[in-house]
Amino acid sequence: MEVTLKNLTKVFDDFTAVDHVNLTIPDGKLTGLLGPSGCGKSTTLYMISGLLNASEGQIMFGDRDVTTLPPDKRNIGLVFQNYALYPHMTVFDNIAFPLGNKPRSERPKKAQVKEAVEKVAELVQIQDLLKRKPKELSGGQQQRVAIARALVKKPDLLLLDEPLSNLDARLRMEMRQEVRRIQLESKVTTVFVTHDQEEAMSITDSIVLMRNGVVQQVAGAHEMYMSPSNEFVASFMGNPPITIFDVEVKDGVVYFADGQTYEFPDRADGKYRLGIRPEAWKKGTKLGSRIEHVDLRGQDQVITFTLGNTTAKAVIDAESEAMIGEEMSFDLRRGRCCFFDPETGVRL
Amino acid sequence: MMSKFRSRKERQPKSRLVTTADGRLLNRSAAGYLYLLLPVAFLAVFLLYPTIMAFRMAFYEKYVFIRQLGSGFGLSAFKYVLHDKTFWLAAKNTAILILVALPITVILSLGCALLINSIKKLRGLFQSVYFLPYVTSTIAIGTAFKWLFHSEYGYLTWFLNLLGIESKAWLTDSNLVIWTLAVFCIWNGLAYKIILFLAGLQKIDTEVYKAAKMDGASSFRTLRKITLPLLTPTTWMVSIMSLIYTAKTYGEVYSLFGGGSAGVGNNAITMVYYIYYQFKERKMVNYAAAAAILFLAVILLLTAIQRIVSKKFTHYV
Repeated sequence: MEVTLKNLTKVFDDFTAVDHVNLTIPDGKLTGLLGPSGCGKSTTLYMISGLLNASEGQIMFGDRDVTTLPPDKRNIGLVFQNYALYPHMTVFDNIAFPLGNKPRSERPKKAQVKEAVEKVAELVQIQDLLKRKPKELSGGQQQRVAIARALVKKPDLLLLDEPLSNLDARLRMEMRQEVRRIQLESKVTTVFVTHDQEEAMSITDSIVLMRNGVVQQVAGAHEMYMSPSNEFVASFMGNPPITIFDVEVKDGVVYFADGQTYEFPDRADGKYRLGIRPEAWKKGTKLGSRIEHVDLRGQDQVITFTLGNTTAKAVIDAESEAMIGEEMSFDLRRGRCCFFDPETGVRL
Repeated sequence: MMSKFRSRKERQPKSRLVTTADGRLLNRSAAGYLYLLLPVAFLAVFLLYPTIMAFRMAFYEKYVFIRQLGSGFGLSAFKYVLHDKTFWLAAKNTAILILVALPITVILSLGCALLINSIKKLRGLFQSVYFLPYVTSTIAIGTAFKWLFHSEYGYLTWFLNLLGIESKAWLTDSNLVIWTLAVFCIWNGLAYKIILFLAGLQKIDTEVYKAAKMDGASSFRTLRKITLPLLTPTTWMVSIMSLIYTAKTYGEVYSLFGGGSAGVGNNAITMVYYIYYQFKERKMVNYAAAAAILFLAVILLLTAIQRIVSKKFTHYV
């Protein structure tokens, strides 16, 4: 089911958390709502779920307007950040709970409930845990139960609110693969809220990046990384982050603050903000600086240096070891550099 | 292997005696025992000694109050008490309070707590209003109830007359006094239980309610399947405390019917009031002690039963 948000706005007292968001969430795909904390991503999710009312705008499920419908009329599964399992019920009863809430005429029989619960338990691989209580489960297992509970009623839409933030690093890697697998197997339209750009890039079909309640860019992970629409998107995506320089262009030559130059033949004259991705640097002869810090990562090394008065990070392969204090010269891969308008931050 | 063993042994303190920096030898536990001494002394004087004395007194064959001298050892006090009609009346009244007033007050307070918990505006006001009776003395409330239930000038009489119903002698009719007392006990016990239930309700994670909402649970089903089960530890605590409190009902009787006999013909007498009555009014210390011991045995039994039963139905999370 395709979800469309039209001018969706949420105002808390005098603070606008979500500001006229227009968005289409494609059917059967995994969409990531990404952004720093306080950007309005969770608020957007809770408006889609119906737990929060929209101040303005419309939420369409397919061609059905659900803006004013209560959560239980929307046929949505929601996985909470802290799972919110019912602590006094067994895993089986937790998963079966949504089925028992249906109106008497639609309520499945005991055998049907058992079958549905077992089927979804198999999908999330918790068949052996059905008799346990939530407190007897690990974080990852609780997460699986929460997903099973959200999926058992065959929702048109699955919402996940920062589902991996309560897990330790290793489990997070495992569970994000699992979320992807479960989504692909169940084919349910899924919206996934996260503040971790790496998480969003690794499993989503498309990413919605938000800031201060405004959508910055909607794109697939690759496109968002390679051609960010503005300076914020460029800085948010990627680790180590992109470095932004204040530069001036004259006659196809970029002048850095300390007077060093680099050729960008097609660039028009004027002032720019130049974003250079860490992997855009390569060993060369043009731009020189002293190495301030080296972070060896095994397959490559992150080199910190200052150019002009901006501290930059470069990822260079680790074949020859870089030493702190050494002078080093770089070339640039021009295709991995972006120019931004110094006033608006828009990519040029 | 040997050296390892020895070194571990050496690390263990040989006793609780330690030397301070200036060379004094101190018992590390001394301060602890010192702190314990005062409350223990307090308990010994006001609880332990009276309990032992009560046991001794209950087995006096004779007791002369003026000289405060008891003599003999036997079961005649128990014999008297168990054949005393007033004792059995007190037992019956206490049972009525436990079986009727107690469930009503627990259910009412739970209901009030659920209602207060579900509102957002004026919640603080309602919390304070419902807590007021708890900080008001039972004697003061008793005086107010006396007026409320007065057979000629009481508000209840006035109100019933307004509806065209004939009022009754709430405070003097021998068949009615126990029910008047029950109403008083229910009302008087509400405040504290409401506060306990509210605390229990606020301990339940609000996310769980959001989850229930997403899962499409009606408010009734949410109450039955989520709120009440998650509240069982509180419910258990409230009911066991109220059981003991209700069984000990005394202040309510005293404030509603005054000293001396509990209402006309002792009809509103409760167990503890009976003990007081034997002791203070009739100066029969050994009868009072015997009744107190019987009462203690029954309370212990009830608490034990409640413990066993509650384990089955309580969800500790």
